[in-house]
Amino acid sequence: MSNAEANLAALPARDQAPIASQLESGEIVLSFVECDLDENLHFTRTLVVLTDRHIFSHSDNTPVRSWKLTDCASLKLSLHGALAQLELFGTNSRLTHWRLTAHVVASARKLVRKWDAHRQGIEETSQESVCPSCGAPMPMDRVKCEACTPKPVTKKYGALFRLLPFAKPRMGLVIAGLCLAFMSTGVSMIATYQSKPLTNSIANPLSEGKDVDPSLIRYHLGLLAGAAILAWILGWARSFCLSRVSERIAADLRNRTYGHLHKLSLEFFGGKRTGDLMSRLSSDTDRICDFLTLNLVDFITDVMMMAMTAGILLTINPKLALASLVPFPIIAWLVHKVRQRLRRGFRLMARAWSEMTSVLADTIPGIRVVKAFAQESREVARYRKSNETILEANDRVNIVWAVFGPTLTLLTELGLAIVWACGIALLIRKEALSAGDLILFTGAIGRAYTKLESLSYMAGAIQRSSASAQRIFEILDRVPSVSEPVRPVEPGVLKGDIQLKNVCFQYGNRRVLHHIDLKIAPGEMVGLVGQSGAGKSTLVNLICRFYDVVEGSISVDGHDIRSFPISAYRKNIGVVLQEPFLFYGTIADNIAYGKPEATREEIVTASRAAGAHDFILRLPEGYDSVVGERGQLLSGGERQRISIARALLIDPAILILDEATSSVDTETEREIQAALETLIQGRTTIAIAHRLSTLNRANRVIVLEAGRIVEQGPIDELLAKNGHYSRLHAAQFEATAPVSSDEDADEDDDESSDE
Amino acid sequence: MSAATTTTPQFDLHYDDWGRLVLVDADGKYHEGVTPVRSFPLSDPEHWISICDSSTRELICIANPQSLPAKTRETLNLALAKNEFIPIIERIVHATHGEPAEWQVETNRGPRTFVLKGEDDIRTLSDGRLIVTDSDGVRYFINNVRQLDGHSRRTLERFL
Ligand SMILES: Nc1ncnc2c1ncn2[C@@H]1O[C@H](COP(=O)(O)OP(=O)(O)O)[C@@H](O)[C@H]1O
Ligand SMILES: [Mg+2]
Repeated sequence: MSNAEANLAALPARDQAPIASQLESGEIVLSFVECDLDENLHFTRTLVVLTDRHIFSHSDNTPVRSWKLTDCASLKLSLHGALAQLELFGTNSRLTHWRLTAHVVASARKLVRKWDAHRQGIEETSQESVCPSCGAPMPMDRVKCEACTPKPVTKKYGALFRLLPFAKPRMGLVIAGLCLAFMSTGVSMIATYQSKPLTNSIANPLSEGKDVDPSLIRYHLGLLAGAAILAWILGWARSFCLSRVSERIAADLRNRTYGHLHKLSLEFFGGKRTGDLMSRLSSDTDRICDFLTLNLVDFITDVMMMAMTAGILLTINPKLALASLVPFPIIAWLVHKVRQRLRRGFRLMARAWSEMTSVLADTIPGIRVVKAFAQESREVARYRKSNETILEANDRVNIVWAVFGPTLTLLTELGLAIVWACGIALLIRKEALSAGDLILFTGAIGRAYTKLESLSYMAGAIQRSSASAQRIFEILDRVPSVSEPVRPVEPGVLKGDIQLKNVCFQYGNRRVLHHIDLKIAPGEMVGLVGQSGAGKSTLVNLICRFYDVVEGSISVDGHDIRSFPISAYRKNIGVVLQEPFLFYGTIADNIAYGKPEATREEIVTASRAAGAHDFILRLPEGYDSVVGERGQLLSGGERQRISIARALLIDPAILILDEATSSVDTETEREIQAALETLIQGRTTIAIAHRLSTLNRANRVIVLEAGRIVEQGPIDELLAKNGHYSRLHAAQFEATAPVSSDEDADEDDDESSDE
Repeated sequence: MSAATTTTPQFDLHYDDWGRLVLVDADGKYHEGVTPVRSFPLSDPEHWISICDSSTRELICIANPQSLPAKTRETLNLALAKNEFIPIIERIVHATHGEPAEWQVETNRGPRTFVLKGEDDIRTLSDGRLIVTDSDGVRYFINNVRQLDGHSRRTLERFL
């Protein structure tokens, strides 16, 4: 009973009373879903509740509808993209249906599962599962763990302020730099201040024919020169300190971003263009660095200088000082006006750059396709077009700047005129103002105004770098969808006892694996076959934890793989993919990629085992030969053997071969096969193969069809069974015979290119 | 594949008591639970509509639905409308800063709050429309950025 009440309490508050009034005594709420669409696909909330006796449906302002479970025959959930339909069928017609979006599909699935379990009389006692990452219990309508799934945080500050934490570890240098900046500005003010005594007590008396003490002249001139030299030294030290900090902040930012990039799962990279990421990491971080080293340092000294100037001017003559402030509000207003526009412009510019890098990053790896289809001119045009987009974005910004710059000059000239006018007016009225004061004033103001101009360029620089910072924080803020466990279990060296329980997986809203249950014993070799697109690669991707399951769980040696630290877990897995990827570097480096500290002996042993040793010896530089970025110097089969050696070198407990031998000829395959025989000893091996002969050694073959296991067992048994496997088998060994059905034709297609 | 033709074939479409769409093909064969699918949903939605069976194998292809009898066309449009769900955003009430961002919008199908993962999920079509995909894969159109009110436009521009 208490359980029933607890479940009722799990319903949204607004539905509790209406639903409770419908419940019979002892009736238990099993599950519910908040459908978010109505019949006409308008966003409306409708609650569907499954109890052990009824199905209720309730939306605001309408009475609760109910169906007795005894009148219902089935409940079906169907998906069409992001749109889903939950249908309730009676014995001879459809009773009703609800529409919902992908947003709530997970809870709808849960409801259907509860329905099925209830129908089959299974009492699901342990409906409270626990989160594999943090161990917190997960209530019945939740799919994701509330406790440890990070929530999107709203950022209060602009992207540039978020750079501050990067300065923290170098606070000492920052403070030293700021003190130096203060001193150097102060010293340079002495020079400005000297114009008053130079005018009043030297230039004026001399022009009026009076004598001036030469020591006074020497003193003032010496002070002027000394101050200049001191300011120069202090300025140099200041720039050195502040630039040093800035460069390091930028470098930290770059490292942090790149580090974070590697924490993100394949899902992130699937949706990103290489060029875009490259441009974020290179040009955007560089822009920030420029900003910090050049603009920000200037900005700080300029602000100090203006503050000091203002102080001096106010002490000399407050009225004149006020007059010199006239252009400021106008400039502030102007800066405010263009800011938004500039930021958007700079953002577009950064994007345009990304686009251009992307064109390069797309085309260069695909250069063989470009040449084969003679599309060079189109690619050049595409590049030109993206280059034009950059121009357009630049023009947008420049239009604003073009007006902004000269307007500023105009304002400062006017400001100077105003100061002269006021000063002369004060002189005429014989107020306490000397010619020296006026010279000092206009000199200082003139300087301050030029700083003002450079200061206002700051408006542009800020917008530009904050657009860049934003693009970088977009990566840094991305939460990895395959996340490190909150309470990790150290895997150590695993035995390789793999168990998949009710595993479901989808890319976006497309389900590609349905309710897979599979147990693989340590040391067993399992073959995975099925049409292309059946979900074989997806299944091994899940075992490698490149993606996380949507439903169900995968455990190795009895622990959910989500509770292992990711890299410690992957150290136990060797993967060979269909498309071998070699990094730029020597062959030895490539083989030892997973274990950089490997000895030469280990490298040679692994490559012998993979059948790579002989052809490597034929290369003029042997293991020291440098292979190009994608290993173009080698043939497909050779590259494949290197990647097999790479997987073998780490001596993994679990070996995954995803069509590893599909791109080598049959002869080579046989050689690799022999090598593999010894290597799969003592390892759990999952081999995906199109060529069924590859799987002769397999203890068991699993046939996957449209994301479901349709058949499994030892090869002989499957052949005797005359089912899916024997059909695949027949199609392959009679490849020369005319093909009868569609399905076989597909298989054959995949094969023909290999053989 | 062999069954699919691009000329307009003789066929009938209707709904049965189970709420399923039924296709009766030229040979009089019944296919239950079929769905119409647009081949070019964005660039040419009005042509090249395929009727597919439950495992998305094409049964027939209608190059130009205008040539169908009125009743069949009506059923076809109804069936298409049932599976088509791209609300049009008319106003962006609020969007949080940073990414992922929570958007609160008003659409032609009522108000909605969703999460936008990143600026990559806003795609500009060649005809100038925007297509926004939320974190659940639900897509929304923004037909004309210029016709949005100032607040919505400024909010949107943060993500462009
Ligand atoms: N990254 C991805 N994003 C979306 N869909 C994918 C992705 N990878 C594979 N798919 C789809 O999932 C299905 C299964 O793919 P896969 O597991 O690669 O099949 P195979 O059995 O040939 O290895 C295919 O229909 C494929 O289109
Ligand atoms: Mg594959």
